[in-house]
Amino acid sequence: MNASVAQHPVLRLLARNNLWVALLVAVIGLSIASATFRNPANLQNILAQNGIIGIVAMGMLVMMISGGFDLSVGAVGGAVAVLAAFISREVGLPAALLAGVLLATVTGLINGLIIARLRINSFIATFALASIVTGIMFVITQGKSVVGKSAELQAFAYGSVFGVSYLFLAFMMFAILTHLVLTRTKWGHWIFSAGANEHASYLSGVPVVPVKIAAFVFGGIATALGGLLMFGQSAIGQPTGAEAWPLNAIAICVIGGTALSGGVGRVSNVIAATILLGVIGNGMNQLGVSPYWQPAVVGAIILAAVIADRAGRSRDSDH
Amino acid sequence: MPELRDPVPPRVQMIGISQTFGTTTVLHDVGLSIAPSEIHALVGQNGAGKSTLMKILGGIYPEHQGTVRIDGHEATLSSPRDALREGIGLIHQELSLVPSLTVAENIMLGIEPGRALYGKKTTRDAAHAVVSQVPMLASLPLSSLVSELSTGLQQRVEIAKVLSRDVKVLVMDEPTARLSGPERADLRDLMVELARSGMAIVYISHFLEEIFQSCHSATVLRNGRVVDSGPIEKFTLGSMTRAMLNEELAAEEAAATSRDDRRIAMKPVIELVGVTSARVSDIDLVVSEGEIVGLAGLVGSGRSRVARTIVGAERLTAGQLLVDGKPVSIHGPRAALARGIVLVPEARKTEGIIGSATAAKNMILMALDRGLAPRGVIDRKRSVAAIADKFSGLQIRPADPALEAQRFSGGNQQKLLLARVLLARPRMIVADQPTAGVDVGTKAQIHRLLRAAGADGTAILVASDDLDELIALCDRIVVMKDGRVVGSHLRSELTRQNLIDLMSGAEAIH
Repeated sequence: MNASVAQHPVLRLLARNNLWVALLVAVIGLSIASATFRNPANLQNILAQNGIIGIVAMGMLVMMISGGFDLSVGAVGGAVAVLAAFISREVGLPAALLAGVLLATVTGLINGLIIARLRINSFIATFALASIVTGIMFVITQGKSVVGKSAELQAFAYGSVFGVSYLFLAFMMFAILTHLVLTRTKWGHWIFSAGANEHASYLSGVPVVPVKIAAFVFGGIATALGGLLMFGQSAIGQPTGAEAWPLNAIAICVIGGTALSGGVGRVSNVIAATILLGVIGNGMNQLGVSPYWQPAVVGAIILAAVIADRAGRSRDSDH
Repeated sequence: MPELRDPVPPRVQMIGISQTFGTTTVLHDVGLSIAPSEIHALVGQNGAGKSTLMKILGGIYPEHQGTVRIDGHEATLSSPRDALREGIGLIHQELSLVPSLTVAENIMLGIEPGRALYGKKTTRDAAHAVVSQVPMLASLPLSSLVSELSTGLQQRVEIAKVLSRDVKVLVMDEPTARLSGPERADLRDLMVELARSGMAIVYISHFLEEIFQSCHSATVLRNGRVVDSGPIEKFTLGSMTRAMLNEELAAEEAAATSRDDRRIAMKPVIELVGVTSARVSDIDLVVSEGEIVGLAGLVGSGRSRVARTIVGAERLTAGQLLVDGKPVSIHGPRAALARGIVLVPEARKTEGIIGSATAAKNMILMALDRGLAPRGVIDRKRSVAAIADKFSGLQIRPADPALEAQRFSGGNQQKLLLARVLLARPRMIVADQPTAGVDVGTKAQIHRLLRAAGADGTAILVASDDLDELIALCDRIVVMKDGRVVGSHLRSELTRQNLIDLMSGAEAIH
């Protein structure tokens, strides 16, 4: 029995934050291996490039804790960007921001209603909504990008303070908000309990259906922020610009120890997972690894993280 | 009673068993010896070491000290597989069947006949060969899905599963906790039948009366040590309880059972007038402030339905619900919570505990709506204080609010659920089987808590299978049969026997 070892506070802290340890190891290792990687400009770049997907992952985290997940964040994120581009050109930027948030909030609400109220599996529901949104968007745009006007948003997307980009800061702010909502509020609490044991929560007086809907609305807001910032980067609304989001965000959450079955997840681990994936992707580029290899590496990391998580769990309960 | 003669070596003999986890020793030099055909009871409070001892026998804890002999030869028990090879079979408290497979498939799971190919028919035949040896198992519906079976039948599938592995020593952990009265009697018959074939049976139960009915001998564990052991005639209900418990709680339970009717100010909190819902009809029921009302009845009599109807988990099809004298409609547990009416559900695992959430989160789940989260933001200071208060007040072990609820023992999970409803500052507690599967010590504690809540003016409704519990706890007992109320009696009017008569419909009390 090595129970006494695992009890040591420092080791326990390390075990609890093993992703941050992994991140540290990856950064140190790549810094030694590659001069271009350790260049501060490159490191700043990594943070800037992963801010948007980090925000989307926060939304995904909340939805996953509630017991579901959302495959429509890519389609909706693209639609938000296209809509914002169009309205920014025709009306103005404030209206564009508002419209973007409204659009994703409504799709989140629809997802939540279908999943919680009609009790449709979230894979089916969000996959269907993604297809519908993509289809409508292609019909309207004829598959072309929409040029918008977003000088202010662009300034934000490329701005930085003390070398840290606003995009990354926005991610951090949103992560803190997510953390506070999840841990300090009643509704956050309920998202965990409804995700972990829906029936027991219902019998305890938790408004399970509204809670699940709220989780998807929160996810929608995160997607809206992501879509708007993506539009801000290029001033162009591209229908397919966010295609990779759903699986990337789910991968980040899973690497961060979030349970697909609901009820389990931590913001800090998802932050670490976001940066870790960014660091490894960037590091592979700097080391000249063929882009064809990169998905395989990411897949291996997902598997390793899930297996490590499972191993840790069974060790915990083995007494 | 079988004759226990010396020349035959004990079927199972555990000698000098000690087990440590980290720095805590949970078993100190425990011995246990059971002859062929003997049914041996293992009793003790939660945490006394019963389950650990049996897990050693089942090969789950290979790193123990001491020896285990089966039929006189030393057995190596380093894995559950080894234990099965030695002829030891465990039936756990939580049944471990695959609900989506048929009965036959479950019985033969892992020992399916044939080399590589799987045949439904050969599996069924093999299962049939197993169950046909025991008359009481012969009627198992081999082709039905396990998920369609009652708990009692599912348990028989577990027993058949053990028999298919040629077991000589059978361990049953709390086999009756989830069974109805007739199912319990059946199980008793089945045990006798199995023992007659030479099997040694270890029987773990919190229902001491069942132990006196079914077992030949008993061992009492307390804090990992054997405190008493011997033939069942050596024990009385009182001596066994005292051996298991600390003195103080034992005395309090004894005093409560003999107390007189209390005077209750008749200020009804809830009234049911002609309430009809799924499978209960025309229920009249009143629970007043500070009153503890019991709901007695056989399984299926509608007790749980009534409990669930009060908290809005079942829909009313007729009748009226009054709270504080005013007609209300409670359209869900959430609406009930808003009125301070809270449920401790029967199925602790599936309907009660949020397993992967911490104990602390489980506790405050209801209180969030009852003042602990003003404007939706959790009052951390108060919630931490309230949680700490309940942890020490209810003596929840381990005393770690950050631990996941699923890691607590059954009795402590039940305390977490009670803490949950108490923190909600309830006007009325509806408790469905609040002490099912918990030990006498925890049971006495839960009774004490409910009495204290009653003394503070909370209305309490308790549905229970345990008649002694109802008589010890309640001011008034309402008896149900076939979905209807058949009587309501003050405690002083009732004895265990006439309660049984009422429940089975034998006769009314005059």
